[in-house]
Parts: sequence; C-alpha cells; structure tokens
Amino acid sequence: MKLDLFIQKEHIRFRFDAADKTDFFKKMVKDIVSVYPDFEEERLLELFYLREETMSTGIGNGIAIPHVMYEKCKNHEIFVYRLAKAIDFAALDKKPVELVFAMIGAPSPSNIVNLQILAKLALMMKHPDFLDTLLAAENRDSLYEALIRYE
Amino acid sequence: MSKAKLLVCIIEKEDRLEEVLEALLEQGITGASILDARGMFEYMADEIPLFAGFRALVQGSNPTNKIILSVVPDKDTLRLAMDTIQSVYGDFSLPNTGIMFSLDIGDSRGLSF
Repeated sequence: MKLDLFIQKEHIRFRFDAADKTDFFKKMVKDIVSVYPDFEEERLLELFYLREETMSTGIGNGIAIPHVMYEKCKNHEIFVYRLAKAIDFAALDKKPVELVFAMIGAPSPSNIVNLQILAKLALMMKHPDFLDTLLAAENRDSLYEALIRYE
Repeated sequence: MSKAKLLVCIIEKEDRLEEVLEALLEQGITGASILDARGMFEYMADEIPLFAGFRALVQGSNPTNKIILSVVPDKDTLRLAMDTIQSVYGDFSLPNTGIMFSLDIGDSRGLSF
C-alpha cells in the first residue's frame, strides 16, 4: 500500500503552531473542519480526546498518529502537521512530538483499511533514515515527496 | 512420505475445549498438544499501543484461543478426528468459531506409528 492514495499535499501543514497537546487538538480539528465544513468540530474533538484517553498516540521518536473513525467521513483522510515547536504528547518514549499524522477513517464493519493505513504509518516510522528525512524536510513539498516516495 | 497427518484445530470458544478433547479420547485419539493462542487483532489491540483504540473491534470475541495439534496415523483417523470435533464443537463456517485443517507429515522422529 502506498500512501499517495490517502495523503494530499494540500493536507500538509508546515510550521503548525500549538502551545501544548490540548491546544494542538483544538487547532487541528478547526483546521480539518475548515477543509470539510460538514464535519462537526465538537464531535471530532471529542473522538480524538477519547482515543487519547485510551492511550497516547505519540508512538515515539517525535511522531504521533492520532486516529478516529468518524461517521461523517466518507473516505480515509490523513492530515500531516509539522509542528513549529515540539510539544509534550505524553508519548510512549516521553520525547516531545514534532510531526503528527492525523487520520480520520470512514467506519466500516472490519475497519481493515484504517488498520492498514495505521500499520503502514507505524512501519514507516520505524526506519530511522526515513524518519530523519521527514523531520529534516524544510517545506511542505519535500515532506510530501518523501511521504509518497516511500514504498 | 509418512501416511501420518497433522491436525491443526484452532477453537475460539475455549470453554468447549474440554468437551472436544473428551470426544476425541472417546474415539481413541489419545495424543494431542494444546496451545494457548491469541488472535492477531486481540494481540495488536492489547500489546501495541497505537492499535489500542481498536480494542472495541474485538469486543465480544474471546481474548484467547486454543490450538489443538494432533498427529494421527492416517487419513481415515484424520477424518474421524475432524468429524468428531465438528460434531461436538459445531460448524466452523460460522464467524468467531475457529478453523481446522490438516497437513501431510514428511520426515519425523518420535512418532510411534
């Protein structure tokens, strides 16, 4: 599976400002709703918070992959946020998070595509060289190119 | 190649294991190993933090499964074992029940038939 089916360059935010994790989620949801006006800001925020309550989606090495299934989502959307300043995300390795992949999935009986996308992202982030490339990207274009080049 | 077969039976309703083993024994199938196992989704939801949010997907299914491994001497005994298991356990084609299959045995050591 290649991610170019799910990641659009227009959904990548560079130098995204957030004071902390709560502030990030509020701004992130606002941003997503600005792209999809039929999404409900409060509901989406609640879903992301509920998921974080289960366990932080900060998987380590500066990466977080918050994800929700949202009934109004018809496809599988990924928004990418390269933060202007790393923030505490209660990540598993306790390192601050610099890069966030927010996934909103269309609910389905098996959720198999959502699981496949998550697994793909998790696998990608286990490659140190690739991770270095992502974190070193200096603009949206180079971040996007790195992401879609990855097999 | 040996005529022996390996029967692999994964049952999700582990509360039925006792009955299955008793039925096999009654039919003279006396050798089997029983392994504890977890399904892939159960394992990922419980052990890999990123997938913790998918715990609800596997709610309702048993957290653990049982695997029965049994080497039987020939295809007739294999058929008997499979029929016996199905007669007490039920239809494997239903969701969340399990799977059952067999494999040919090649070289072996320690088998007494």
